[in-house]
Amino acid sequence: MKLRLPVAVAIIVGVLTLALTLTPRDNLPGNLNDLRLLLVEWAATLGAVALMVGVANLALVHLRKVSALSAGWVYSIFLLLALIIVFGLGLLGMTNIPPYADTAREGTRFAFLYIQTPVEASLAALLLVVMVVAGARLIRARRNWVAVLFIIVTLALIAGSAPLVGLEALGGARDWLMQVPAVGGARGILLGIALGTIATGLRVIMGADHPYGE
Amino acid sequence: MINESTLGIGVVIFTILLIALFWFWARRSGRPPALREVDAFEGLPQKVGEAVESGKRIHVSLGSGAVGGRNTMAALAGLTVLETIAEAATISDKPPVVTSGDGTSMILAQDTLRRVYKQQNAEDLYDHLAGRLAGASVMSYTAGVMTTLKDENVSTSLLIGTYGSEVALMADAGWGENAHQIIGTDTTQGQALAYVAADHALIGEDVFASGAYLAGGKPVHRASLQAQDMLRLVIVAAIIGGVIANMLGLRLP
Repeated sequence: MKLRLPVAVAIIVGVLTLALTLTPRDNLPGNLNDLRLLLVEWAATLGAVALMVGVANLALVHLRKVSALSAGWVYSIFLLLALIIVFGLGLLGMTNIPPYADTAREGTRFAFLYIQTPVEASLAALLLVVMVVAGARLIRARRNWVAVLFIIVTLALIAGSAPLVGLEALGGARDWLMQVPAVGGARGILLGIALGTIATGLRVIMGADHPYGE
Repeated sequence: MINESTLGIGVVIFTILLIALFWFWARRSGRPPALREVDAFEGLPQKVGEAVESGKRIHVSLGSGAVGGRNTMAALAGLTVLETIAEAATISDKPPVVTSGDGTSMILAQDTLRRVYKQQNAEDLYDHLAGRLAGASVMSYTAGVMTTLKDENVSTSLLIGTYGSEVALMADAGWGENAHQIIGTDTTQGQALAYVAADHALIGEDVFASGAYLAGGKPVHRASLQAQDMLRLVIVAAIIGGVIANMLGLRLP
């Protein structure tokens, strides 16, 4: 019973947004188009508030780790310190107190540009090594024809990309693999994903699925 | 020529009709429809049971997509899995841990866990920090998930949501902890890497099919899956028909 109001609101907003999105803009009266934009703006605002809640949650998780001296608690101290410093710099940067505001803005820029970006880039660089290791692991873990085909195609693509003298035909094979079976397969998968997305969305709009409430 | 708007409305109405048709059909016949086998879901209940018995944790991650953005449905698919898993794992000393890369999906994950605990009359065991934001950017989220897998004694890890190539890093961390891993994502790049790196990868629309397979499957989820399969056949027929019409030089209206 308690769930009826949230479900009703979700269905009405869902149906309205879907109908307004599917109707060509030119056919929509101005106020209805404004309503669509308003709903989208509300969603964006809620997303921003949710992010703040998420950051508070992250801080609480790491505070608990530190207080309980759980595995990796030392790293949690660094995370909390970084969170406090960058958040403080961000707040100070929004004020107009010279010269602190400029210094704080510069500090925030420095943290993103020279700490976060390089650290994230190095983690991304690890991907190549991890992929090679995962490929080698695949041969051991799955001894079936699909895995063998996967490895053969991967090796053919790598060989086709290398400037090997006398094996120029591999380049043609690589192009064919990339443009015909790979594109065909990817489109098939994307069609499946689109169908799944539509069905899941409609279940929520119909009120048959509700990831909220009691 | 059919415009995009008319086509969109047509697809929505046709899909709703198909779901309703299969739903009522199943209710009337009184027996659930046979579904195609999906390896990832076959052994999952056993893995959940093993995790509960061994006192280890189950990890569910919802990806970096936001609820309200273009990846909403993938996150909702993850929440469906979480709901089913949590129902079985609430009796464990170590409740499931849920990570997310976005605040909205984190809040929904906490709400899902709280609801399941309440339904099981175990609300006092609910820990609101079991649902957590692992990181706000893609790579910080990845690092957060890798750390969670290492620190939380995880035996089964389910990554269901939106993932790109970074999923390989998370899967590698799970492999290091000897965790059983199932990955389902709505990106082709993520699916290719999931196939290589995980024990089971959910390919194509299978990422959205968990509700139909787990815990007996809700009738509406099964009906939805049947509607998806039917729509796929319609699309295949339309593509083949279009190719033949093109070869014959026929022009479609």
